[in-house]
Amino acid sequence: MKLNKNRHHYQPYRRAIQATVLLLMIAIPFLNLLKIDVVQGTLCSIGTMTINIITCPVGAIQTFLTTRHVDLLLLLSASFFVVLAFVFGRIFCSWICVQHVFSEMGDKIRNVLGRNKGCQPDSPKRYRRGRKILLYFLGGSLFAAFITGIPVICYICPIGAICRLFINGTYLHKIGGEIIVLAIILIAEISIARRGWCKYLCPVGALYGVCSHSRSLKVRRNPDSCVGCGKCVEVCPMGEAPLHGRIGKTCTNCAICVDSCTTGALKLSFRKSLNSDQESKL
Amino acid sequence: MFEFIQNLFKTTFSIHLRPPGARDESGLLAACIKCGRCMEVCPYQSIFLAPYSQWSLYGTPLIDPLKKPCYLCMKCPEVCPTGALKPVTKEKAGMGIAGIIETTCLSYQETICNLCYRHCPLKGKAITLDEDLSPVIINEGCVGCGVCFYICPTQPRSISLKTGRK
Repeated sequence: MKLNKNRHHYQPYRRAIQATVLLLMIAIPFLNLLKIDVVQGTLCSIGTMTINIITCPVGAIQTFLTTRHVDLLLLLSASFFVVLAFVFGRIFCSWICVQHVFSEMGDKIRNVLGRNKGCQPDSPKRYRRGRKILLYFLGGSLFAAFITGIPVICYICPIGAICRLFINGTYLHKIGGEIIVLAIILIAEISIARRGWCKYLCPVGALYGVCSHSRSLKVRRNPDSCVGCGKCVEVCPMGEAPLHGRIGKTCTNCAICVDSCTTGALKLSFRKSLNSDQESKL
Repeated sequence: MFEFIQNLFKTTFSIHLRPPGARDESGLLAACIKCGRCMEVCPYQSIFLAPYSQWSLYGTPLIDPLKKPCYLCMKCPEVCPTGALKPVTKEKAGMGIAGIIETTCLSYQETICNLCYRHCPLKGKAITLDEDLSPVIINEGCVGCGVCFYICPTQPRSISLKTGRK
């Protein structure tokens, strides 16, 4: 097969990384059960031996709010993904997150059911409203955590739920109520809103979205080579409109639009080239 | 189908202990982010995460001494990322306190049984034998790990276990 020179092929790499992370989340409890504990933990907290390397920043912020105390080591380990978001945008969502895999499965089911047919990009008004819901949900749940003294986001977080599902399955040979949370999210994403959790509710993604405001890695469009076919708009699961130059904070840098572009007008690049679009205000 | 859903939420345990070095109940609920690191690191698989049926405790670590007690290896507090479990020595684990029910304990019924004494991780500090070779719990030393409760041969157990810090 001859590959089109202009086309990028990011999706195989993205799928490979997603599969690796998912397999790690399944394998780590097994390895720990066999007393091989070089790598421990879930996406909530990963570490070796007694050192925590990565902690979920949302979990860490909630802990700071609930205990009214900032632990510096925790802050350090929580900043890993945040720094990643400052440079690379929401790549945690599209390249690492395990819930994203299931959301994409839901999207595939939507395709099969024909619910994605004639999918229009969100209008700017709807897009802004979606972002508002996302931010209010993050702010509201952090406030609730501060008031109640309980990290409330962890109760509903599907990322943690999937990881706990794997641990419980490995250690207790039991499927917990987590599967019901996941099923509710999946069914809602199929029936109500396309990629609804990631787009409107996910507090983790919202935090990375805030951090990715001035990210360096970004999808950039070259208007000179763009033929306006609108394929990028069609494939974007997050309701962005790269064709109209709207690549905002909901963009997860998943590069599906870049792969779909036949003329190579869209690029995932660090540098802003001279002939690319103006920065989006959204 | 209904039974299947019920079973998803049902877990049977009588007493639940917190892992060693845990903060007090509200502090633990505030700090725990339900990551499951303590569960993964536990070499005896004593720790499990509370299921949704225990909704107010959901995802926080528990130990059921009827199934598996804590052997005080003190690995879990070291890996806790948020300090919900604090690294302490065995003697300060502070999980609860055990007591001997003398009316049913075999040693107090003219039988020699000192299983609780022999299995205690803090042998001599938490349990000693008196001159009749009957076990006696030292309130100051006992941390409530639940090993004696787990090992006790009588039915029901002749050990009473209270949870919570002293």
